[in-house]
Amino acid sequence: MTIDQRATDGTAAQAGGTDVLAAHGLVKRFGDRTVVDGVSLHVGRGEILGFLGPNGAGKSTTIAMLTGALAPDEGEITVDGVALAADPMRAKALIGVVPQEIALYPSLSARQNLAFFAGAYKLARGLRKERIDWALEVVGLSDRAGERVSSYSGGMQRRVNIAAALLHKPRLLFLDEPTVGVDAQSRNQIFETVLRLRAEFGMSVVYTSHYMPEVEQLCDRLVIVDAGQVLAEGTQQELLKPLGEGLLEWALNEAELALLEKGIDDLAVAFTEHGEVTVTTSGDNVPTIRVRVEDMPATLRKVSDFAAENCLGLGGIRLGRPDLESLFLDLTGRQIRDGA
Amino acid sequence: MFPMIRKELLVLLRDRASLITLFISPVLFMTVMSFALGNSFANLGSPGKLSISIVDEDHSPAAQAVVRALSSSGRLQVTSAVDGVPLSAAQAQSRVHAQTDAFSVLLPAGFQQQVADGGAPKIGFVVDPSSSRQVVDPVESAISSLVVTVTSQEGTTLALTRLSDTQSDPAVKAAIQAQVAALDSTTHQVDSTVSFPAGEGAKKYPSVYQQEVPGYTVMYVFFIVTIMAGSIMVERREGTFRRLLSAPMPRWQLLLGKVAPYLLVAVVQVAILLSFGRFVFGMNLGLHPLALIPISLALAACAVALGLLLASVTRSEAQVMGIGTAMVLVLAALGGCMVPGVFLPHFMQSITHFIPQGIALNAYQDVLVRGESMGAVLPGAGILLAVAVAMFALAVPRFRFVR
Repeated sequence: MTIDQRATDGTAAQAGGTDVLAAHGLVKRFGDRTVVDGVSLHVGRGEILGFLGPNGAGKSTTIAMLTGALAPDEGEITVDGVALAADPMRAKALIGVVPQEIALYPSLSARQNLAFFAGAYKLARGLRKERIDWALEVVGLSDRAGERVSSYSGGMQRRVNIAAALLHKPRLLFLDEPTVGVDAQSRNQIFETVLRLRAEFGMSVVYTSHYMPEVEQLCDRLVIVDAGQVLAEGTQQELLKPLGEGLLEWALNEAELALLEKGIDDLAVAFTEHGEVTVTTSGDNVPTIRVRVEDMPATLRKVSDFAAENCLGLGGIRLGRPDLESLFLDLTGRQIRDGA
Repeated sequence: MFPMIRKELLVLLRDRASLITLFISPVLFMTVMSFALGNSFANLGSPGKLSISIVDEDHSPAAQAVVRALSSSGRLQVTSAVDGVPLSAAQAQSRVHAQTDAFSVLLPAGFQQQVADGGAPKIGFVVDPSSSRQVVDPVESAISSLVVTVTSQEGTTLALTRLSDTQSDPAVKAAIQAQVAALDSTTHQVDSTVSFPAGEGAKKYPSVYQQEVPGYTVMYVFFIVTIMAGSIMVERREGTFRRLLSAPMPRWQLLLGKVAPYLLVAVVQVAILLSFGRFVFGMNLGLHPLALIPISLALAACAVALGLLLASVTRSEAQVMGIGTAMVLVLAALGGCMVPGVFLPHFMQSITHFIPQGIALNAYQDVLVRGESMGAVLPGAGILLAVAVAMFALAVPRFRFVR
């Protein structure tokens, strides 16, 4: 059975429920190191899921398992009701993968690359030209399809990278950092492509990115991972709610700490009534408090008063809106692009 | 799998550097080396003469007998005098220095006396340091043997003459003098003929092309090792392997689709290079050209298997290029691809039998030079295939599609 036959007779779609992707208790170990530790997630039909995590969080390993490139040590994955472990060829035929790298053959033209991937996805021979033309039109490269990929700009290469994953019209598309190093025009083109695929084909998408505005703009729901575990999952509204009116970070240097009787603990106590306070250290081992602010004007007045009373400077203060950047910082203690 | 094969061939066809390495470079090497070594092979089987000079400082009958014996050799061009004046040691050294002679033989004063006293005759050799020891050493050895024979005969003649002088009986005296005359008329030449071993089809010495074309063909087929392993490293680095692991294609198909095109390219490469030798140089393909097929297939399999093994134990393109290139060149040298086997020392000729390149080259020469048939080359091809299978067996379990 070819991919196209499966897509049109709907056999795969009938097999599962409403989730196009369901993963339960994924574990992956490399030697003694557990890189992914019990990750579970699901993606609904036509849903765009943001999959976020800092470098080393186990994100790439999880994606590799979800796309069938790596076998999990524990856990189960089903794609549109098809168990990936039991029937990998059928499950993989329902997945499209756009890797972070430009995973193409630069000496070949865009059309030759797409013809190869159409063959790799076992697309019916008679359908290949039509699908290649369609994929090129979707990413806006029909007029330059005969040129070598090496002659394209970074943005155009990214678009061919996406087109190669669309040829078999997958039910689930993985987009791993699809906008790295692209210009604004290509970025907009990629956004439009993702939204169009969902609108026209009900395609589900797993989207990873370090650009929070992209994630805010595109994703219906988010999964945030760190140290191989899911830290949070939900819609943006659900996840941002605990942040209240924003996030206040105050880092003290050694001289400032010496001015306080109990050091950073004095600062933490002073802000307890203004929201949930976490004491942490930044990447440079600088003692820091982080406050989920409930009333921003009152908290800022407190900052001013406390600084004046204790002769502290305001250089270590950072305010964050209740957005994904702040959420990520709150959950992981790191900026999303730290070490990215 | 067929899309993989087609893609790989397309990529390779657009890779000019690889095409030059696989096809243009061996053709250039074959051409240049064939011209460079043409004279060496032209003399095979024909009476080429080695120029030497002799300095006779003894002027004795024994020394003169040595000069006569060497001068009468059909293989040596001997100079013992210039314009009727006997050559001096200084002149002989000048001639060697000017490379007029390969070396000079010095018969020192007292040469005959040493023989008469029963001692070992002393002779000297003046050799151009740039001369090939493989040429000079055997000739030196042969001349030394000849000197021993001639001086021994001269010693016997001398003894018989002295014995004759002490005889009073004319009949005995006449008999001894007849013996002396017989010894004097003894020639030191051998009437020799050359033939090839029974069963071999060859009727004449090989041409330079029959040595150089298969040699460089075997050597350059193994350059597929670095090209294939390098391509695998690029696919790992660029993430295309990772991407294909998510495609509905079993891993064995992915691996086979990557390896098979290089097997095909290696076979085509052999066909093109041997055809070049045949049609451009007029190289004789022997009495059974079809016997070249099993050798070529086994050779290609061996090269591709080595490429896969290299890709499975290295981690970067730099490692592939460094280790791969060194390995290919060293194995080619040990296998006798760069220098014809006849010029290699004995221990290296022994090593070639254990090197895939040497086994392949020997099998090719069985067909091209010795006129052997299919049956004679199958053992060699079988060994190459067994080596290929062993390398595949080592490589496949270690192979990783992603870093």
